[in-house]
Amino acid sequence: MKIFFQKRIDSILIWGHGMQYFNEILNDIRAHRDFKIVKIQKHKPKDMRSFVKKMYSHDYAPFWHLKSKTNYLLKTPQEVGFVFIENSNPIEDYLGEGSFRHKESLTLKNFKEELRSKYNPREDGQQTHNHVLHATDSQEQTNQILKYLGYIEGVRLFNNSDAVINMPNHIKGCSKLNFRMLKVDEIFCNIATGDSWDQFTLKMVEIQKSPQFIGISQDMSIYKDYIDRYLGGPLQNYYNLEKYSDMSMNFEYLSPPHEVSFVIVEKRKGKFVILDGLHRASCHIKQGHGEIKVCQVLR
Amino acid sequence: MSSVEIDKFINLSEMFINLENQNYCIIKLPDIFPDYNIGSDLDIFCYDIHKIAQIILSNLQKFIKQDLEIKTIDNGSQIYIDVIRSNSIHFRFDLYGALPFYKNINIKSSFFSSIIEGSELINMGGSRVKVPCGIDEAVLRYIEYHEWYAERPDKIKHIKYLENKITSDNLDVEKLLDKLHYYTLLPKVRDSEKSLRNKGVTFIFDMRDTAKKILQSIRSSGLKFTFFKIIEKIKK
Repeated sequence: MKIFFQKRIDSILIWGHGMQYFNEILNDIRAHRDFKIVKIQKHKPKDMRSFVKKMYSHDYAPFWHLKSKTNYLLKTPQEVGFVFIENSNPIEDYLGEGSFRHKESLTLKNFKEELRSKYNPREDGQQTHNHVLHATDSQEQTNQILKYLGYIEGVRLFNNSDAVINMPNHIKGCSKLNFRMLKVDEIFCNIATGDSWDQFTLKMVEIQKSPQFIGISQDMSIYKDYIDRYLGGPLQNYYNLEKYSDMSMNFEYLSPPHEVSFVIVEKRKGKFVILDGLHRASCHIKQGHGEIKVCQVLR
Repeated sequence: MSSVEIDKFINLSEMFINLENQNYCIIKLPDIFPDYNIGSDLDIFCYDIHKIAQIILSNLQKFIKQDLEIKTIDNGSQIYIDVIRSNSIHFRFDLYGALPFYKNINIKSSFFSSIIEGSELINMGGSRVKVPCGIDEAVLRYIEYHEWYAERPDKIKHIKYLENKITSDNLDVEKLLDKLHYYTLLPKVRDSEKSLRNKGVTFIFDMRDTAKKILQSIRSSGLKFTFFKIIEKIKK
């Protein structure tokens, strides 16, 4: 019996040997009409064996059953990527037999199989079963993965409907907001500097010195390098170069239907720092505006 | 046109056109609507306070400038949207997602949805807005009078409004009393009794009254609501 439930949060885990296709897989996910990427996080497990076990600990089949199927993972590179998606059309069904019978999203199952046939390693021209990715069967499994990554609220992390404006999941607990006009030179942003997504520090700079602004005003390759280096670490939203490029051409800040998509700032040590909306702020400033309407969170 | 009129820049008519498809109900609609007095407020009951707040905000954001800000305070079941001009309140939208707390009268929480479901679409100064039906308006005014009459003698205006509605507009008194008694209960007066009893007897009576209150609450509002209410009281 198929169950047409409301949307749910799922997770796609890209194993080490699939990370070479990380950007391609992200593009495939983005192109799927039922999926919206809500978080991207890379991870370096300390011990691959216990990590694999942990990832399958909430599977419907007992781990001993999966052990032989997952042995190949122990030899894969110890860097994986989690892509959390909002699955707006899960089409859940009960699959499997006997004690292994379980609920699964048919939409995600079909998509997972498509990606595996596209990216799984091949031997003698044949697709192997050394899967490059694993996808959750249920939202409960996503909940456990998020908790493993340190997000104690689990999938509630993505519950942002109870707010005056749509807040990204890293901004929580702001009951007081102040919508106001600020001069562009009053606003700063944090950018990452350092060698890679897991070795970086944050530095506060003017918006005009950010890779986001330099990308659309001078050289897009600087922005591309920045995304490639830090995606999954300090950058956990999905950024698409083409989309950003297009956006910068035809952008009109707070125009319908985005009237309340404010750049969100917070005052820290006497300076207004962008918490969300650096791309929008960059586009707005590039158009020659000296002021911008912002939403200041007051904690 | 005077400078004061020019200063009243919020177009409430336009705003409520955008709210047409939403479930809401304006409480105590001012006679001058869609005009308004600077510094005044508008109370709105609605199921989805966040959705309504977003629509109001999308309408107001065009006015933001260096000396004009919009501040919002979200208490979960109530949102204030303050339009602040030159550091003073120009106008306030007060959105309620549940009945406000009344200390002098007990009201069933379901009265809130009854008001919204029974609201009427009226034409006021060329604007179409949803307001409580005649009976709900009368009940609300009586509640307002009862809550405040000891501190605010001017609240007698609500009783005068009721008298006028009954005599001039043939308000159905039987229906009014039916609804008033179904949804409200006057709390018991116990303070004077207390001083006459010793502490032990008072404790027993308090326990008995508490048990009665709990039972009453379960009957009127359900077990879940009562449970959370008790937890809330314990926390206080």
